[in-house]
Amino acid sequence: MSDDVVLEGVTKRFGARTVVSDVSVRVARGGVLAVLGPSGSGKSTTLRLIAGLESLDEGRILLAGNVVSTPELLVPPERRRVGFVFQSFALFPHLSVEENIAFGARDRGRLGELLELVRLTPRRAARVHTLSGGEQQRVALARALAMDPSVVLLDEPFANLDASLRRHLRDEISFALRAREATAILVTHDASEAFALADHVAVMSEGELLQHGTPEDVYARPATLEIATRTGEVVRLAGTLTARGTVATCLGEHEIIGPAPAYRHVTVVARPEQLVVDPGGTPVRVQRRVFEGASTSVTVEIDGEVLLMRAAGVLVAAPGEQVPISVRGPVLAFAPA
Amino acid sequence: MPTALAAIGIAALVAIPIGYLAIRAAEGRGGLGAILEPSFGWLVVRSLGLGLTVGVIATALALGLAVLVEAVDLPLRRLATPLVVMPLAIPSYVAASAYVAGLSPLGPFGQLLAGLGVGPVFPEGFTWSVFVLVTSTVPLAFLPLRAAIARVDGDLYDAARTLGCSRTRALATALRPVLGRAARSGFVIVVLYTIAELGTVAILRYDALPRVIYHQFLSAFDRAAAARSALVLVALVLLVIVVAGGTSARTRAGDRGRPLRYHLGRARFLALVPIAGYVLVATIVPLLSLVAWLVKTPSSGLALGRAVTGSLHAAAIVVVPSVVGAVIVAVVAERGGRAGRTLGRIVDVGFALPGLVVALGLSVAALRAMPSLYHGWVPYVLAMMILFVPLGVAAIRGSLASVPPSLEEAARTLGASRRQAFWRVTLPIVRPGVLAAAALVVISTAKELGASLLILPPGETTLAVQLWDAIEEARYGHAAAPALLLIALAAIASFAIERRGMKEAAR
Repeated sequence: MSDDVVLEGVTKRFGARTVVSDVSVRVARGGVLAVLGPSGSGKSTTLRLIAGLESLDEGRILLAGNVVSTPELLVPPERRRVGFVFQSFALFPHLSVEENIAFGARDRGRLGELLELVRLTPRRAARVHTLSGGEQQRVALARALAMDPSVVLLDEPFANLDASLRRHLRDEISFALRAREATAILVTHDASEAFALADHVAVMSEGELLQHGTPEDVYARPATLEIATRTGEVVRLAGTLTARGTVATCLGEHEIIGPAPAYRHVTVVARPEQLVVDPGGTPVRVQRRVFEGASTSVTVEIDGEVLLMRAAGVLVAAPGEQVPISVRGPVLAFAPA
Repeated sequence: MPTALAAIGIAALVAIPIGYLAIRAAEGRGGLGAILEPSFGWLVVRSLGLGLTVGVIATALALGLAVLVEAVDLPLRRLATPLVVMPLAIPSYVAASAYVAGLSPLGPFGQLLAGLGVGPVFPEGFTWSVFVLVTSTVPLAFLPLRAAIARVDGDLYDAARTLGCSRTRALATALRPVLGRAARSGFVIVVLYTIAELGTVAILRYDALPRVIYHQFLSAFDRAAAARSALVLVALVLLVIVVAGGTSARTRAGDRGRPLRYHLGRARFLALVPIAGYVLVATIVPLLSLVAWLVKTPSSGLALGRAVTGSLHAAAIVVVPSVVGAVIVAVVAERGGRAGRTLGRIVDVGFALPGLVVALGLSVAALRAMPSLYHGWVPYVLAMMILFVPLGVAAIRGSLASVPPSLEEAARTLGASRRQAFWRVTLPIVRPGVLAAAALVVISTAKELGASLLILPPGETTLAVQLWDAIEEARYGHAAAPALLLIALAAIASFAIERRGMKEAAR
């Protein structure tokens, strides 16, 4: 068995409400899976099911090749060797940094190494409530890693942190996880976080697993309109299928990614960065532009349709002026919304 | 599961005294129907009359003091609250003892009056009971009122002024919405305290229900009559709770602008007079009386030693089962969902029961069910548990609520079993709460008078019992030391709790 975590048809109900519905997913040894979804999509419950903090109603869960959860069986959390990083960090307030990390440690001799890994050696004796949010986060990660877990589960690990800290910690955690060759599952509602940390992304909505693939794949080929909007900004256009298997919009004719839907009139979806200024393109009227440094967000209007595009650097056209644009690369076509 | 069963067992304790009282009362002459006799009617009128009179006066005074302390630019404002709350450390029977001792012909105030040519004053009867109970219970009504006023938005006052209200009307407008509930809850607490209090009415010789129950039990040894009276007292307590619709005073904390400060101008210093007057009668006079007696009775230390060791002995026996029980109930109440919360509320009932009634019921139960236990510690320990486990639960639940479930879950994922997670994580975090619970149980045991008088094993004593015996025998010098020690204990406890509250708030 090379899969560290296997979920097969996992279903969980709270009363009459099904919060996780028939979810099947595998994470290979050393792999990092991000579960992406809005709040209430069942992603945190899935994590708690894997940790054994909840029992499941259907299906089964395997960790390192052993069945740990079925409707009849619930191996208790303390016997699963899962490292759980809680959204609130859940650090023990009565213990120091080092004591927190040592709480479940298998090999106390390696505490120093772990403290080093999360760069907390100078603060080893500190009380946890004196730490900054980022430091608390790192203690929580080190504590989970110290037990030499078969899988690390991270529940919205950056939700309690400042935006400025997030990026930095994201890289640190990614580094620490890979340094330990840890298998990890990360739950988040932030697509950029999921893409940056994971080698696979699973998109969940209302308890169901909608799509599962590499970050590039999920971003470029979302299976539904909903996944497209959950995984990044989108440009929507009304389109009509042509006899050649392409789709025509007010911006021209475009190749379609994947099979075309069985409708004549479709919703065409592209990413904002696909819209580019092109002297040979279709003229559109600039509505609003927001300079963001490396790029400029521009809202343009054509035939009553309002589109978002992201131009590299400075766009010279001022609001009210015309600018010619075209769509670069193939687009997505979905059943009309 | 064993935890839940233990919690259910503790909750069921409450039913024992009440159940046996009902059985015993039904067996007496005339059965339970005897409760309807006119003599009982008079008793109820006397007790209820005392409770309502004290309730109205204490709440009115507390309202005045709370407005002065919290809504007005009083000089020395920060000092005022501790001064007004200080009498909480003086149990009302201690205050009653202090007045009796102080006004006796040999007491400091008795001699003062004699020097002025005024005949001896004997503090007895309805008026004196009202007086002493009011001085003791004002802080009970003051605290919720002060808290409510502290939450009033000062902008309300300014808004009322800009809308054309006079200063006084604007003040009333700003205060009115919060005062109703706070005043009612303070009033209910005072009435409940008053109608259940034995020591004060006994020392001041006013025949309210508790005093009658005590005499029926001990002097006349008429158990059925005592049981009937005790049931009437329980009914009265329940009636007050039901009519008042519970005692919880949860005022919604709204968005708050500036604090409310009504400017008194030159009258500011005049506003200190009522506060000083209250401190004088509620704190200074009783303390002076006790200290004077202590100073002129060199031998009082001997009796004190026995009372202290006795209290420590009793507390040592009570504290472990009570605190363990409190931890169990707190965990179940906090983590056991709706059923757990209901259980917590049942256990809380014990706190509303008069100690006298609980002790009477348990003594009847012991005589019936296990006569061999009658003279032992078991009924006493059970009585103290019924009365004081709720106190411990309250102390521990506060700490426990601050432990998010994710901490225990984190411990579980790190390899700790459910039990290990509790011992390694939860218990260390709630330890301050557990220690506070232990301190509360120890002090409450030393302070509890009614239950101790009835079922403390023969030969044992506590500070409260020692004080009672000395007053009964008019040996006031011997009453002074245990009385002052009780006050010191309660003062230390409230100081410690206050500081802990500030520390937790600072975190």
